[in-house]
Amino acid sequence: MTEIGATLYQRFGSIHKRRLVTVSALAVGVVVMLGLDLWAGPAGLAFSDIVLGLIDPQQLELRHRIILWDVRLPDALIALVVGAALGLAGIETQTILDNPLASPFTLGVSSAAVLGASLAIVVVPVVPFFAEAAVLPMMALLFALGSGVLILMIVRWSNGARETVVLFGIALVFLCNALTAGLQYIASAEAVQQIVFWTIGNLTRAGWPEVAMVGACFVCVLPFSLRHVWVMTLLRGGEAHARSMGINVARLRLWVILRVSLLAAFAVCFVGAIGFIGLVGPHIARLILGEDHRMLVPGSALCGALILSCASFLSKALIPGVIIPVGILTAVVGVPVFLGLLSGRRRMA
Amino acid sequence: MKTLRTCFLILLGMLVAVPIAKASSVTVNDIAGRSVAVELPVKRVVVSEARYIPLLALLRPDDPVGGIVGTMTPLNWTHPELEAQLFEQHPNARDIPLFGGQNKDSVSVEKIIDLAPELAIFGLNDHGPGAKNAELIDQLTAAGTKIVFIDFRSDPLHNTLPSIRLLGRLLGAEKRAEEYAEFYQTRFDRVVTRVSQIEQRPSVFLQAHPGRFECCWGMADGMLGPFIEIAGGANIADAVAPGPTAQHTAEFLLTENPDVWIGTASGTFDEFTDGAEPVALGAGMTSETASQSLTRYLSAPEFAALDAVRNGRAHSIWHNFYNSPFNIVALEAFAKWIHPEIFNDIDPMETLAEIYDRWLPFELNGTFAATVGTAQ
Repeated sequence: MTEIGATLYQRFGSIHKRRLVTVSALAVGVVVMLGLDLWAGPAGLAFSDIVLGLIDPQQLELRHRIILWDVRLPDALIALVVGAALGLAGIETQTILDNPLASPFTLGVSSAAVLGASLAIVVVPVVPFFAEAAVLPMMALLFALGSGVLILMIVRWSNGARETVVLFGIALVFLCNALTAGLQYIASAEAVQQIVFWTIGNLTRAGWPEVAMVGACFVCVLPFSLRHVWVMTLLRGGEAHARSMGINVARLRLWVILRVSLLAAFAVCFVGAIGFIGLVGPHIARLILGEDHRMLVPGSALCGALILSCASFLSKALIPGVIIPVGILTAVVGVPVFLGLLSGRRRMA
Repeated sequence: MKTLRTCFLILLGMLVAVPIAKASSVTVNDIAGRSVAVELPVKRVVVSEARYIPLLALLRPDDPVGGIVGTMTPLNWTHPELEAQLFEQHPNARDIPLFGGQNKDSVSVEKIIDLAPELAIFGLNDHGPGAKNAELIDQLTAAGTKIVFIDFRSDPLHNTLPSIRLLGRLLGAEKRAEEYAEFYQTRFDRVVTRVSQIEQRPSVFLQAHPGRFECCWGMADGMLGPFIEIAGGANIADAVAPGPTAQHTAEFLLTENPDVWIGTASGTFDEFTDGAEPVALGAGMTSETASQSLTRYLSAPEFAALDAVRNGRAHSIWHNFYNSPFNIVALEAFAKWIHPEIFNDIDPMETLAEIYDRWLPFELNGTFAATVGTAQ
């Protein structure tokens, strides 16, 4: 008996070690991808110039300095933080609702953000003390957070019944989409075009303040997610099981959905509805890391960051000089990876 | 009795002959390449976008909206300043019914049929029903409405004058259409002739909707893009863009560092006074405020570092020239900005003033082009 126990313990140790290595590899992958993303662009900056410019910006001539510090860096970094935020939000949503199709977007957060942004584009409200350029993301953020508040109220009201939450989220998606379509109907052709571009999602609209805000949100939320990794892992064994272990699932659901709404709202309000990552990032992470949330939470965030960074690289590299909106590419990049992993798993089985 | 009968016969003959003499059928080829037979004179007409009303005014200055029984959009969506003047001169223009909203999906075919137009004037590729809208074309044709397509938007370089001549013919204003076409062609040829002698083509970036669309949508081989080549410039967007327009990074601009930067300003006076971002031109703007608006937009670091901006070779042109029979003004402005050395004697704003003076029943008000850093 003890021998079997010791073998199991050893085997668990080796699996855990392997997963640790995988997470580390993902982290290295993210750094490499960041380097590639920083290197891509029509200016043809040498890699050494980029490193030099990062260490001492004054070494670069003015135009190259602007390219590196005002154009490439914020875009590359926002790809990482938005990707990570969506990956984290995705895994937490899927676990807490025990639904592989759930993502921050099935809760209506991004549709609400699109509605807020559309309203800002069509109505062009003038808000005192706010620069015009800040009004659009602010409206998107407010609407996204508003949808989060609604969902939280539903969670409380339904005492955490997950079907109710998912159904309400989907209903909210349809409502927001309908209202956005209504706005598009009365909007000018230019405004409609703007809404469409915004909805596709594009990283170039982000600057340093946006990177800082999304980054801060991610950094603030992450510790709470990490604190919950044990109970979330337990929840994967089934809600009844978790309850029997003394976990207040309804309360947990409330906290997790609050975190998810915050993450998703900040992630989409500046760059637009980049939907796919919150869904597929966690699945990829789960395929390579298993169900243990100690690994899965950081792994999912890293997967999200990696996919979006890769999409950002491609959006600049596919047609030099022209930007392909990154929202178009996330699925194009993510689906083959996802399918590859799925078929790999089938072969193993 | 015989005399009476003769008189009666003559009268009867006149009754029959007069309509035959006046009414005639012409067959025209429209810009979509369709052959359309239209009975003249046309008495009831619908137009897709009311932005074609200035053209109708050019052809028939005494009665710009005569025979117009419906439009898809009201004039104030593109030309609020002209609408005010039109309503003052022709109060009945207020009552022209609308048969749609801002786009082709909003068009009510039933409403058009109800308006019983003999002729429908649609844009090949404007916000209204296009030439590919087979169902609507069939329905209207079945209801007895002839449809012609004009175009100032997809290929203004080749379609502007044929569109004007087409409408001139259908609306009984051939002479005025021809006069304007001659005026246009003379100016066009002047640019082409002078450009043929240049040795170097400065690089140009033509940015659509600066401040309204995020950075940086370039017009490549669509809309006003081809005008850059005619005006003697090299359109840097055209070299890389896969379609008529494309989005570029600020990095692309900084790397290419074009000699001339031109933005098509779609901002309005109201937006400017609200402090909104879109670069503004048009009614209500002075040369001072127009330049301020442009300079404010170009003060962002990625633009401020461009040679075009530093050397005072960044300009804004009124966005509405892009879907307009008056696009010759934009061509002249481009030529003057790209090759100031050979086009110094040309004043595009004088051309615009002359168009208003000679052809339009409206007053010109506002500023339609500006240059960075020229405001005090």
